Amino acid sequence: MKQVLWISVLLNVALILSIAWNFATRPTKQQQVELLETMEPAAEIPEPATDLQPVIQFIPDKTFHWDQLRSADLRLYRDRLRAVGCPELTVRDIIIAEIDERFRARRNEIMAQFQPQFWLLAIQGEASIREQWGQQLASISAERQAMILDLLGERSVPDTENDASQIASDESSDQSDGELLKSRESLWAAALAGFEPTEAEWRAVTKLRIDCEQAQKQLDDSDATDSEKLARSEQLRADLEREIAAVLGPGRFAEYRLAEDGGFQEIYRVTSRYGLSGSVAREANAIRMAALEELEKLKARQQQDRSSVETVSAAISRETKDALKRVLGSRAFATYEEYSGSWMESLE
Amino acid sequence: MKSSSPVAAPQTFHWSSIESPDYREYISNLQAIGCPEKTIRDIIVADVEQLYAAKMPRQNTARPWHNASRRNADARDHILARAALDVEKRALIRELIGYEWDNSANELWHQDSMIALLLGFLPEEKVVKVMSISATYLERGRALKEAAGWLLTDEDRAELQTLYDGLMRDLTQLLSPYEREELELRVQAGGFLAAENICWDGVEIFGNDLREFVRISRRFKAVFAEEFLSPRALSEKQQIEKRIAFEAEVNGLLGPTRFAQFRRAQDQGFRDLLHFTRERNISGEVAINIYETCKSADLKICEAASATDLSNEERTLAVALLKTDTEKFVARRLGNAYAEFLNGPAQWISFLKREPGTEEAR
Repeated sequence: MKQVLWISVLLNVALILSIAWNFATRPTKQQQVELLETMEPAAEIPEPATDLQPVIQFIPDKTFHWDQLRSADLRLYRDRLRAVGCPELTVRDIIIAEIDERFRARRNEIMAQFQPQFWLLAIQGEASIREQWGQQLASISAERQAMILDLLGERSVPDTENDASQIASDESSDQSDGELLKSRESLWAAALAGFEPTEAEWRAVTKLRIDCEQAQKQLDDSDATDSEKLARSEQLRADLEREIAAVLGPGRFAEYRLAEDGGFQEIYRVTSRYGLSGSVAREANAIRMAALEELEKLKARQQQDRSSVETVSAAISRETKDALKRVLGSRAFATYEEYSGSWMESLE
Repeated sequence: MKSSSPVAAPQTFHWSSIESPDYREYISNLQAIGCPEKTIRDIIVADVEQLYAAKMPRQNTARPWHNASRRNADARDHILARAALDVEKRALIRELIGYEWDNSANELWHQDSMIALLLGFLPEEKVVKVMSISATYLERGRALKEAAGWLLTDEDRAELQTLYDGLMRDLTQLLSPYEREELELRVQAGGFLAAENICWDGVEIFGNDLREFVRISRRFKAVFAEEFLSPRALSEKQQIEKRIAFEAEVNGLLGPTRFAQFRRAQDQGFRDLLHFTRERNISGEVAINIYETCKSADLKICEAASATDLSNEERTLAVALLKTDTEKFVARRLGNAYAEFLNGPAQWISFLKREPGTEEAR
């Protein structure tokens, strides 16, 4: 059996529920009253036939019983609930529970038919499961969904639009940023660890990156030969680096370059986890860089004397681990070694 | 509020007369008018969910110049705040109605056919409870991992273990021993068979065998527990040792013949061949016959091509003979479908496609 991700199904129940939760986001009582005033589903639901028009003569409160609301006719039940001021979202939950009751017998019949065959179905594979089992249940689900739609209309999602408009207004606080944000190049800061540009730096660097990207596109579309394109492309990258350095200044530029380095980002992640300062991350990274540099030198010598290279390599590995342990502390080092330490194995 | 009902009858009862900000009073009022317990549950749970939905914080919108560190920290804070409220909400529901319940889980149960298949052996009243309990613990575990930035220490893992034990304890209280075992095995089946891409094509296996196979597989890789607990990765050596032990147990379960069938079923080439013959109404026996013959021939060709006691010419001749004999055999067994076979599933039988004179390179 392939690709039957039941484990994912169960493991993701929390996630699914959380998503469902988001979609089911409901307003406060006050918002709910305002929402009901603007809700349309009632207008979309066909009115009950005339002979079903509810005539509710409520008996005084003391003798009022739920049975006076409840009805086998779900439209009537729904309308009675609405008539007594039951909140619309509560009406929805009550009626859906009643709908589920209606489908219970058919659903249970299918369950009873297939459950004893679970392990056989598992052998036959997902396609077989979907064909034999899924289709029958899917038809019930579709009927159920249709009944819900018919009786209650679509569920409204009141807060989503607000969220979207909030994001839109945040992202376009400056008109000119709108243009910058259209380019992927605007995302450069989102990947950085440790270094964060100021708003002005972000704008200036993004413009430079977009200009460079456009020049690269023009170059790609040009008639230049491959080697010319390669040389020109390298020139463009070098120019960009120089211009960014000019915008950020030498100190900030060095921090920016470091923040782009994947190896540094992994160290930074661990130091952040343990509340260690940025200088600890930089010191640990310097140890990493030094070890890698030594490794490169060793590789160059490998042809000459294999056994001495192995000895030196093992020594570098030991020293590097000791140095990192000293700088990061043993707990942070253990975490770093587990999650990002595979490069140290290559030293051995 | 706009009246959406066609009712214009005199009303002496209004929902506001039973609704109360105090949930216990609300429940008591509903009970007093004879509202069925299940309906009370639906009403109260929906109300609690509305209450907490309104409390859920929105994530801060990242500004374009915010770096990864800040974005991750914001996202983490947001997830943790939501998770804390979620735990609080579930605790309140449990306190009010006496057990775990989640209307969204109930909706999933009714809408998702795979969940229905997975959990359908349970009495219906237990299904949503199992889902709600699992969701509660999974959410707490996820929040713990999120708080650790997904860099887990031994202390984190100890906490995860405590949570996991709590989940198992709650499930044990809710389910009978048979139900719990069946649930664990079904979850393991889905996870393990998919993760390891286990196939059963052409294996004489029955439902009970698969159940036992899945039970054994838990000692090799307990999928749910590993997902939940995120233990340290085993070394390559440990993984190999575990796999060998697992395969030995499978061999013991299936016996040598069926174990060989099992090994064969894991070969994509065999599955393609079986599919090819089935599509053309050719007996599965033919597929098995061709597969075994080709595997055997491939081995012999390898041996012949590297035989040191033969001259180059003798090696080439031996290989060519083996190849021709095998091709003839396959052509005879497949008849008219042979040409299609060469362009389709024969791809895995490299020697049938190999250019002449390249055998020595093997």
